[in-house]
Amino acid sequence: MPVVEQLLGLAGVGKERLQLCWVSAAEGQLFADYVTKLSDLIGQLGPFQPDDFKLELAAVETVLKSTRIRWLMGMDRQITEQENVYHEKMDSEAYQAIVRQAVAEEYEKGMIFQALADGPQSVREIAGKIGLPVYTVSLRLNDLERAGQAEFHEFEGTTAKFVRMAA
Amino acid sequence: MAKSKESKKVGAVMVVGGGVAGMQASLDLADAGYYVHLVDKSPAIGGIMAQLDKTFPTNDCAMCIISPKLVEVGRHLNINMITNTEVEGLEGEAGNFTAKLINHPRYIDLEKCTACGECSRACPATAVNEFNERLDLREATYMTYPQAMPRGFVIDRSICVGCGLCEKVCLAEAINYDDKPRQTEMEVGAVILAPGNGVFDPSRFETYNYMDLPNVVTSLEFERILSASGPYQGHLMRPYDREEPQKIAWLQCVGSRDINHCDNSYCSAVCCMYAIKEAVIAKEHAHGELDTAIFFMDMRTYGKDFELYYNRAKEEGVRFIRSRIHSIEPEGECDLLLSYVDDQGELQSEVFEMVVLSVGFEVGEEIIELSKRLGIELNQHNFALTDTSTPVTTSRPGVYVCGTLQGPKDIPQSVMEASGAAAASSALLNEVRWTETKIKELPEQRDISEEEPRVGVFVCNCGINIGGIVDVPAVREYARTLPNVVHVEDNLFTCSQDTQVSMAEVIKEKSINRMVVAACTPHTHEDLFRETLLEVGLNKYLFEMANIRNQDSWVHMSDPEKATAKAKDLVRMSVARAALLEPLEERMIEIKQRGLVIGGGVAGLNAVLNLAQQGFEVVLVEKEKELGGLARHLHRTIDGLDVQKYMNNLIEEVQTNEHIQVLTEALVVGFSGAKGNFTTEVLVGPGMYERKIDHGVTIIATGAVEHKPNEYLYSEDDRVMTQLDLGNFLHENSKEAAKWQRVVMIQCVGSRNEDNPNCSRVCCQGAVKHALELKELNPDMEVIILYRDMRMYGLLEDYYQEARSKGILFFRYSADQPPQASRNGDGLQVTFTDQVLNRPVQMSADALVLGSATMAADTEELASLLKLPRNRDGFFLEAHAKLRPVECSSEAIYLCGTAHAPKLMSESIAQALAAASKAGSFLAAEELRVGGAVAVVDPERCAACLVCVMSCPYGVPRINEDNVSEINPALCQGCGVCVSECPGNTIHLGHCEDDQISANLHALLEGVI
Repeated sequence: MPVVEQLLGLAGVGKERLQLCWVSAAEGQLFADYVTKLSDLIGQLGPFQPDDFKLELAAVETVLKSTRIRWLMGMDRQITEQENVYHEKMDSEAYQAIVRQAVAEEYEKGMIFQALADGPQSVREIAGKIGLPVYTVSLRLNDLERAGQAEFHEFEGTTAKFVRMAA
Repeated sequence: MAKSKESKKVGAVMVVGGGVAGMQASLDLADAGYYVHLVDKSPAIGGIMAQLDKTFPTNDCAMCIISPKLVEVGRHLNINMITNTEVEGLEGEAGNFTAKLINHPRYIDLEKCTACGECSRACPATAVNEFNERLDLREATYMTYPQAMPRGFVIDRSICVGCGLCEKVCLAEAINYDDKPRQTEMEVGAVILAPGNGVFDPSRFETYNYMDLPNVVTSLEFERILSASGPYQGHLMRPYDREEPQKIAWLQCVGSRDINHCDNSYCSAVCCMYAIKEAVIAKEHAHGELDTAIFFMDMRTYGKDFELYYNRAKEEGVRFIRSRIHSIEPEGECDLLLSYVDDQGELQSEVFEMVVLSVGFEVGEEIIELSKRLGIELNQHNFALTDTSTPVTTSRPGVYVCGTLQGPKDIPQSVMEASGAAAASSALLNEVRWTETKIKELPEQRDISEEEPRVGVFVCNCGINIGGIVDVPAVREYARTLPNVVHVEDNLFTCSQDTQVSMAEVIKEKSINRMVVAACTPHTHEDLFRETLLEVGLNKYLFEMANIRNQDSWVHMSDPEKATAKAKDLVRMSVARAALLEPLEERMIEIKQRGLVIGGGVAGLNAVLNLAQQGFEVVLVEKEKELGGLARHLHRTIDGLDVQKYMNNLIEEVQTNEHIQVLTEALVVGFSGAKGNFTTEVLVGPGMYERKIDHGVTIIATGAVEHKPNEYLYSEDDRVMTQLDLGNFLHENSKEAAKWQRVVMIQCVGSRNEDNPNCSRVCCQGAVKHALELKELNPDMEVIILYRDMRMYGLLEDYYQEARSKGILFFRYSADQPPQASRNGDGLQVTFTDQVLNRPVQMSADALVLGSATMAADTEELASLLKLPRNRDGFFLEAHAKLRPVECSSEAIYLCGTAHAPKLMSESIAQALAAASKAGSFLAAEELRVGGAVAVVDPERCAACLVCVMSCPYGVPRINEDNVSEINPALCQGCGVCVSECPGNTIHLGHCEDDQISANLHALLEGVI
């Protein structure tokens, strides 16, 4: 959940839009309270238009499907509560920080990947489309190139255009 | 007290640092009969040179020229590569050291790792990539760079979270999380330090804003940007927005010649050349018009052909602006504003899209600590303390140094010093040569001439590199249907050790007599598979390889069906050819165990002495009556060496050495033979009696001469003299010199002009040396040096600083406005245009000293006798400017000293040792293997038409006494040109016979034609 919350925050959707609550059949009052709270919350937040967030949500989905994030998430408890392959236990805070960093990077990469669906674009064009700083796009695009998910296409004058590769 | 027990010397050497210098030293020593332990702190050897894109002055791709060295080091039987390891301590003494090493865990077993890369692709942890100078990221499980040696991955524990994913995806089961640090000890006879240096970190320069402005990069970052294996695949882009910059500026001397931001008062010796190189290469990469500007103080292009490189760059439009930039200010979103004062004193501003900081060398804390642990002294700049006359010897006997720890220098100089250090080690350990080396025992080769071809086909999956695209089982089954095939199998990794073992068994079991491996490129593993054949008693030429990886699976990843079909075609071709392969004979010929050195100056004497100390017989031929060459006219070097004393000692050592024969007044009049078997005819003495010398190697050390100027009233007035003349004058008549009130020196006389476009390298320091001497004689004397650039490179810069602080005046003149010398009655006057005042200045002078050019000695006859090419200025041509600076293209002929190019005495000595090292390594083998895949003429059918003689690029075929063409198997390079040119189809090339090539082609076109 922290990962999803972080992603929804990055996407500008807001983490409150997704709620998870465990209720058993015997906890009727709890359920009622919860639904009331939720209704109030929705009233405050107002309507949500998924179409406004197409690019962002597609990026979020890419992140959640990525091996890197899934493996990091999956190994969390093992590494922070028991031991990693070196028979050491890692500090939970430190591990969370690594996961958060990775999620942020993967999200930015995901956004760039989605933006490139429209065809060859330059770093500035991508940055303009997805609202990330130019230099950040430059760095993350490089990560995509390294992973074979994006590639330099051609120069238009002195502007480099990039394309995405088939998965 | 009795002498301490003589412990026998150890015939092994430890080389610390696997950069280009470390590798060269290792190869020289391993070839010369010593076992080498090459230790490197990094997971891979290669050093800084592996990070460079191109190298000056040839603009060769750096990786292309060190790859062969990397591979040779990797597979040399007598080199033990120990990576990820540091030296903790060194005890003992010269000839007998005990080195303590700490081996850091790699977590990946190199014996099993096949470098397929799956672990890296899966790894979820990232960190900044140091190899790419932090421009991009890398994983925790990574390979330093694609061509890394040893070939394999490593886990960076500092960022690894220990998730275990890499182990899951590794098909070779090479991951070992339980790897631990190991402490080991090693017995060696000598140590060579070649750890290199880091470069200056410009984040200290607040005014350059390096940390805040992404488009301000260091020169090493720029190399990575230009490099095809770098983060931008070689496209010229700037980091901020990946746009191609249209204006780039280089700022020279960042972290060098600087006592303000740092203590690096020295010059880093390479930055001027590399900035020019980067500018020129960047222009090549650019799509549009790229404007390049280099901001410098002195343009130090002092090496062989460097001045020509500088001139060409100017012609290509690279701008050179003499000014040292103070600040880089941000302009607009990501551009950079530079302000500077030009020659006329006007303030200028220019906006650039990218700025490259030419960072210099700096000895880092780690290296300083290492030096302490090894017990060697460092100088005030933390470079190893060495002597002019012993440039590769450290303060600790038995420990030698080479490369940039010895001082800032470029690649050829590093390579020369590395060989020099090897020569010094060899001299120390020569009595235990071949005592620690490994020899491979091979079984007799079985005679297959009566057998039908029985082909074994091994198809490799290469992990998933091939198997993931090509249907390997299908290819294997297809191979079964081919003619002559008696065995097929597929392997996960055909190159792995265990597969070699099982292949050997299968070959014996099924009496296989031809082997086909369908896998990667022959460049990687052909030798490995040939070794396997030799070990099982088969001739190594019975092996054939089909490249179904680099030429198939890697380039047709998107079409597995077609890739599989192509793999079948390639295998069919190889099987057809393999059936026709024949065993080829190689034979051993003896190497004459004697060296011949031509030239008895500083270089020749050092070369001959070292060869003798290595245990070889040597003959020294000198055309003058006296030994010593140019050094006879020198008295002091700039760092205070008493040259005459040094030379007298050296000459005595040479003359009293029982392995050396000295022939003076001797002229070379005849030269014949080939590597290992030369015969030289010499006329000796005033009686001109003939001597014939048989030798295995030749070293050219014919030296250079000082140009006698024909300008500035030289030879018209006694007060006008060259620096050499001044040296002699100061030695004989210093009292007279002390009376002088003003001395004017003019640099670049006879150099950097149309007749001689080269820089003579040594004149700047010669002038400063004498200027300091004059000031010592008479502090009130005015000493004025008129220069174009002060080329006080490397550690010489400190003398330049000293000179300025002692009040010696330096005035710059430009080539189009040279100074004038004239006589006014009895007085001598010099007039020049001062750049700052921008007006002519006239001075009277008591002496006018000319920094005259160093020209090649007259070697026309010798060069034609030995068939050695020289450049247009008469200096001998080396085999390769960067990597083979002491070898001539003709094998077993070496070159050293000023015969190669002008250089300092210490540099001549280093190069002489290098030549002796190479010569010694060659002689040490005692035998030469020749033949195999070489061209052979059928004498019955040869018509002596001379076409082969004329077309051979190596000049090998010759018409013999029977009037037919003959090709010496020792010299033939197997290129095949003569074979294809011969109109009578009378020459055959082993391993490339007509029927073999034909079979290959017919198999390819089966079913098509």
